[in-house]
Amino acid sequence: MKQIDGTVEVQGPGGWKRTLFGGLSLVLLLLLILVYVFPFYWMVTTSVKTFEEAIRFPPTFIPRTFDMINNYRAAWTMANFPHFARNSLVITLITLVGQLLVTIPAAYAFAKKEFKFKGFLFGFILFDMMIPGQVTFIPIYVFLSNIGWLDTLWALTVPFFISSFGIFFVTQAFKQVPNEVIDAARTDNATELQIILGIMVPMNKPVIVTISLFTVIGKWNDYFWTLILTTSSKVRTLPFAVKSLFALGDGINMWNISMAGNVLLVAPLLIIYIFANKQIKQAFVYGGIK
Amino acid sequence: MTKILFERVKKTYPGGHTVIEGLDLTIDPGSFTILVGPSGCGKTTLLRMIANLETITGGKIFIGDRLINGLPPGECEIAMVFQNYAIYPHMTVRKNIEFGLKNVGIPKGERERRVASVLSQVGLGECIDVKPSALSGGQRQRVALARAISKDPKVFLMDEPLSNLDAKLRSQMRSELIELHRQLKSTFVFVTHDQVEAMTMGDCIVVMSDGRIMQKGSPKEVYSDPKNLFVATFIGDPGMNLLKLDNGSTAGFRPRKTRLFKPAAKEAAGFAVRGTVTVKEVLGGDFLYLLDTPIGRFKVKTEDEFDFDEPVLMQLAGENLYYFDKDEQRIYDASAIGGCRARLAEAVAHGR
Amino acid sequence: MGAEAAVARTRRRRRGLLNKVFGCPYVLIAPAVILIAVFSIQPLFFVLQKSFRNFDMVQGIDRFIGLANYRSIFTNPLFLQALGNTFVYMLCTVGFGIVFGVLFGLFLNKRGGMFDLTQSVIFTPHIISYVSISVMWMWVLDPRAGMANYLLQSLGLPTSMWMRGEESSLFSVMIVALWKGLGYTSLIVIAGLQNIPPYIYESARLDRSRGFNLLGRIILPLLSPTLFFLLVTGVIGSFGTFDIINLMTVGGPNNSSNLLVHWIYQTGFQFFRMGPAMAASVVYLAIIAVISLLNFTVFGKKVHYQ
Repeated sequence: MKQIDGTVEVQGPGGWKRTLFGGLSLVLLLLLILVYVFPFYWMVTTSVKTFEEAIRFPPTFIPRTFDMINNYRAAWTMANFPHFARNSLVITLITLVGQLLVTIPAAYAFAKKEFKFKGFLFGFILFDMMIPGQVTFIPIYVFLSNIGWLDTLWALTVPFFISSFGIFFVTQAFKQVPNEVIDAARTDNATELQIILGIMVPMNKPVIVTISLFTVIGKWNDYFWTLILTTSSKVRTLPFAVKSLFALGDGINMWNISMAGNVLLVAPLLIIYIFANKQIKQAFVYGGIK
Repeated sequence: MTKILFERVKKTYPGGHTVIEGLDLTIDPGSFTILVGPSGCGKTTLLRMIANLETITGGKIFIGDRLINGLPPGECEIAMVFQNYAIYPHMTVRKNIEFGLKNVGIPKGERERRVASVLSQVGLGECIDVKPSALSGGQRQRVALARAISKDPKVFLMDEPLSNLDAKLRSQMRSELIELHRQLKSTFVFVTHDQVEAMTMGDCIVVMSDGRIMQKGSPKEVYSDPKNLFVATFIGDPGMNLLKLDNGSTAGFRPRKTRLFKPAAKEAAGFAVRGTVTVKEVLGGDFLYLLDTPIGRFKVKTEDEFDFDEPVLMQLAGENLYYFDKDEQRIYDASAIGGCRARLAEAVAHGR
Repeated sequence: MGAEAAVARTRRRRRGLLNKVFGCPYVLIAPAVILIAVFSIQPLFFVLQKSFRNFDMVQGIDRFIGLANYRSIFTNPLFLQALGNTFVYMLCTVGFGIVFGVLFGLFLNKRGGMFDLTQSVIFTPHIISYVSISVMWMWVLDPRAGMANYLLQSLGLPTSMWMRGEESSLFSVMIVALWKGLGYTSLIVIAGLQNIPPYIYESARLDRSRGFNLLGRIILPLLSPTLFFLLVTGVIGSFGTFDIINLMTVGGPNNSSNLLVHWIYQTGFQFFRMGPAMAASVVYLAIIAVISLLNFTVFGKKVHYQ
């Protein structure tokens, strides 16, 4: 019987049956890996082929032509990568910093301070968690248009300084800091800022890293909001660079160049993922389970 | 050497619950004062008010001649050692101690000197750059102590600092704290719910119950001269034996001050009551017996050994008897005492 | 003496305005509250209000017209198709998503080595953008030169028009969505499985519970909080799908793969019919609210918490 429990011990039939199931497991694993690695493989191999080979049918699994440098250079310039990359970096960074500046003090207040309407205001935050952006995007568009922020960096950063999930998680984490430690800091003559930056934050690094990861990944990959709140490519981010390589319905697609562009877009994230994969997965689990 | 004065102090929590009302107390300068009492009696609240970690709802508190109402905790010139140590887990031992010193602007050279000095005082000289997670509970407590000493405060406040330590470590730390007090000569205010700890450590005991001070005195005083029933039963291990008299007052005597004889022995002065041993506890050099007598069940602590179910004669000397009136206050008036004595004699005679 | 001046300086700092500012809870939460008010609460009211009005920014019209917008969307076959598609999409992606997530979560749980590696591999799509994924899959599913049709052909199976075909467009999108989501779902399931204390399994072993019995009577019930979480977030998430549609099919061909939010976007941003877009937004909100309520009352009761 297939092993369906949480321990590492193998229990169940022995001998040839075990080998058979072990073998089946292996097959299943390889199949899974294949299904997931294949699109990436296909993308990378296409990005090194010449256009002719790329659109050949039946397709070639192993590239026979090698036009990598041209493809990547074309993708880089045609899509104006530096411009979009710069935008992505700036917007992601500003959003991250802004979000932390809004989240951390608020979490400190909710976790450690008593004040009137605290319950109501925290409920306010919780309520916001339930409002999806897909409802608010048109009004936000109208509002930002009215104040002239459309198609600017501000539109893509300031509205995202608020993350009610972030405030929720950090508040829960901050609550775990023993009050006695804060009392000790007060008798040590610490200022409020010292307590926030010198005690609350350092003692809760994992949570802060987690919400930062969410923010960075989300902002870097964002398509929806960037589409809505921009009208030109002035402040658009990398996902749009790749999209621009894609002429949907307009003539023939240079698949090899598009794929090269996509590789450029995906590579940084993949590299980070390879190195930090445990933390990243932990971050998403933490976010989910809590 | 600083005295602490509480004047008609009141503490009410935001929900409206008043835990302390109209409390007056003087903590003598340079003393090792212990605030002791059962859970919820207000001792920790009182301690925290000295540090201004609890707001003083009413009344005044003076440290020395300085009124401290409304001052931020760090400016009251006190140092506090918490029950759970409250050392900063993400800072090394050195940084833990320096943190407060930096905040009052003490220059680097002086800081380093103090850190080295206090750490060697508590015996943690090698742990200077270690993080708390690598230290044992006892070591962490010493770091907390070192932090307190480094501030050179007028008053040391300690909130049940030894409760989280194991028994052996606890008694070791007790002697170290007593020695520290002797060296530093500052005023120590120590909170505990363990009256044995209180009696062994303090030179002044303040017994509290329900937000009120039941008695303040030296260990000897609260033991041999309790002012009310609460102190009589709270202090002492075990507490005083009590016997209700028919005029509403209560007679009491300490288990330690009672003598047991074999039934055939000649009766000594005072009262004698026959009884049987129903429970026998061996406590190292002593025995603790629970006796069943015609006038009640009483505990006796003595070095002599008797057997389970053995009939014995329990003897109470007059001078070891205490009398309390129907309001649980100690009776000092000689004629009133005489009256109670008589009633007691009757009860004992009856029981024969 | 320098030291005294330093002491005085720090005391000033402690009692100073900056410290009072940072010590005041209202100041600390003000940015958050203001942002929420501006970017969540106000938009909600806007949507509600404007759904009953004829709102045209370009022409400067803003007139109350009652339920006209609602009537117009519910008689619009394109809207109804998008709405229907969304329900289908939600049911399929959440349903299959959770089932596959549980199956693979159980399969991959905590066996070390290859299994962990595989889990990491299948999680990868979760952290790359929809743009990248769409581009990748549009290439794989290209009817003329894509791998998918090549494979089908070599296996002797009929090929498909994938995103270009009216019958297959929604299906194509669902495949990609499921592919993207499996890594995340199985990760959450694994985390939930690991939350089950080992002594439960030991106890079950003593009770001679194995295989499907163990699965159905012990594991799944104890996994129910996790499953409930996946259900709630999955439903709400899938109902709001936009990116993948806009990138892979733009709702077509012929509205066949259009989903609710994308329809709202098209109506508002491309056809400038704000009124109906707002009405549809309200409908969207109402549906999510009702579904969440249903989830909590119907399924919420079945969840066992440890």
